[in-house]
Amino acid sequence: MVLLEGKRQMKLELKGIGKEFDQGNGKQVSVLKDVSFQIDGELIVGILGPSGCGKTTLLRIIAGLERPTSGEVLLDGEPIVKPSPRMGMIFQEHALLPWLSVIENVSLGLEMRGIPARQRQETATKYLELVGLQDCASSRSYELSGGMRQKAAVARALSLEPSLLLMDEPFSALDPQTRAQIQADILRIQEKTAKAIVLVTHSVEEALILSDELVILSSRPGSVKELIKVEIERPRDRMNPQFLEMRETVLAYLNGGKQ
Amino acid sequence: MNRNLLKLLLPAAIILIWEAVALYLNNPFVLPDLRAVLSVLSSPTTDIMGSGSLLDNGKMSLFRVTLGFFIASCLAIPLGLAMGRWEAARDIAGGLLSAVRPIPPLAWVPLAMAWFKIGLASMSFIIAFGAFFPVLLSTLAGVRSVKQSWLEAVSMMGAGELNLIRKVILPGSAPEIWTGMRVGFGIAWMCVVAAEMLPGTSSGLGYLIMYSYGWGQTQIVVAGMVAIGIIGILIDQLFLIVERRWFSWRANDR
Ligand SMILES: Nc1ncnc2c1ncn2[C@@H]1O[C@H](COP(=O)(O)OP(=O)(O)OP(=O)(O)O)[C@@H](O)[C@H]1O
Ligand SMILES: [Mg+2]
Repeated sequence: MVLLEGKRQMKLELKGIGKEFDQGNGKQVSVLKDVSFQIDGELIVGILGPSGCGKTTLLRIIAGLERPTSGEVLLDGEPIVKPSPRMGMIFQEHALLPWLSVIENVSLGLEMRGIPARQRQETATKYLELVGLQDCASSRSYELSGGMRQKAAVARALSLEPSLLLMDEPFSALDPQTRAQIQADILRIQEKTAKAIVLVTHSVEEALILSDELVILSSRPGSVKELIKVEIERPRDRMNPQFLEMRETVLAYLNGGKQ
Repeated sequence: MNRNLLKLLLPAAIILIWEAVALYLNNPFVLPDLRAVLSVLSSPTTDIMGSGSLLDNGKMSLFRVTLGFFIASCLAIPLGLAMGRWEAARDIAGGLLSAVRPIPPLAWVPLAMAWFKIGLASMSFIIAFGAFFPVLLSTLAGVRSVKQSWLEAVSMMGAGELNLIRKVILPGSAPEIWTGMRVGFGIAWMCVVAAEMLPGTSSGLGYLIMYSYGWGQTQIVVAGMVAIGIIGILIDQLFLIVERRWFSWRANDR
């Protein structure tokens, strides 16, 4: 099975993103400050940072679900002002529609795009196979385990063949084994479909297993503290000395040391 | 113990007590005995003193309630969706609706008669009023129960407002809307019988009950009441069957 959609160079630019929220009492709280970085091509970029530093907010701004107070997000040079099917999002909570079967969830985007039923079915099945859920096509989301739900959400996000996948701690609710397995799936899928991925995570290990580059944010208001290239050979081994060393470095950045 | 037996316990006891009291009183004008009522119920197609049969009058009532209920749903569901989704709609309609809501449907009878004369139109108007608010309120609650993450996930697929309503908000709030319709139908059913008891009507179960009362035929009054109850239960069961068939996801979705 060849799934490669053909290489599509994509470029995501964040230019001076700032975000303030109303606190309700008239005061403004600054959550993000002058966040700038860019992603060229099909890389996996991990975003790490202390809790509350604005990672989710940043991802939602990239997705167009939230507007920044200042700065702009450019996807292939075009500003993002609203959600776009050129990006697929995988939420922390799968967010599958419980009244639809898994395959209906996966083909919903195709349906709204006006693609004929037969072709929808084909495409949706293809992506369900890719994540290994072909046998659960007609199940409802509540009949699946947590890991399967996230896989279905991945298939759904892939179905519109976006050039960029956004993931907000998608595996944090899963047990370690399922998590390791789904991480391997993500790598396999990324290789096959040639996508850029922005992954928000709490886990330094997860970030190091998956990412080509790391963005480390400072505590609130989040700003880019460090950009790191992860040049460990794949497949990566958690026990490899290079991996462990890198882990120490990243942890040091996160804990405020090492300037 | 068998649960079905348990469910029958109370109705059986009441029927027994009724029969005992009826025999003791021995006055069919106050309380007819079981046999008299059953004999009316067992021949639902027989004309009753020139006012039509039980079945015909039942059909008439059902027709009226369905019409009024249909009108109410057609108004309440779109309005509820709009009010649930758009603040402006809530601001425009909210005040008026909460002022009208405490007025019982039957309080509209005089105005309804003045506007539409006695007949189907005024009856539907009253019934529609009875069913409108339960359907509206549950639609509002339904829209509120739609998860933000569903909306966001589908808008990431490039859905516009119309598709969000069609693909997420409407199906996502359907179980609540359906429950509201079930409640609304129950109220509408009460309204139709009450409205048919008003002077000037000449058909329907409510009319049949009042007419038989006028002739001192209490067994027909009771038979009419039983018929109202049975039809009510049957329709409620219909709603429940659909609910279980189509909306089971709601109970399963945590
Ligand atoms: N809609 C909102 N209105 C007001 N404040 C908000 C809103 N969304 C987020 N915040 C605030 O912005 C800050 C950053 O939130 P965000 O969810 O982006 O952090 P995070 O880095 O994802 O945290 P975590 O690691 O715990 O998931 C928090 O202090 C939060 O209270
Ligand atoms: Mg977060």
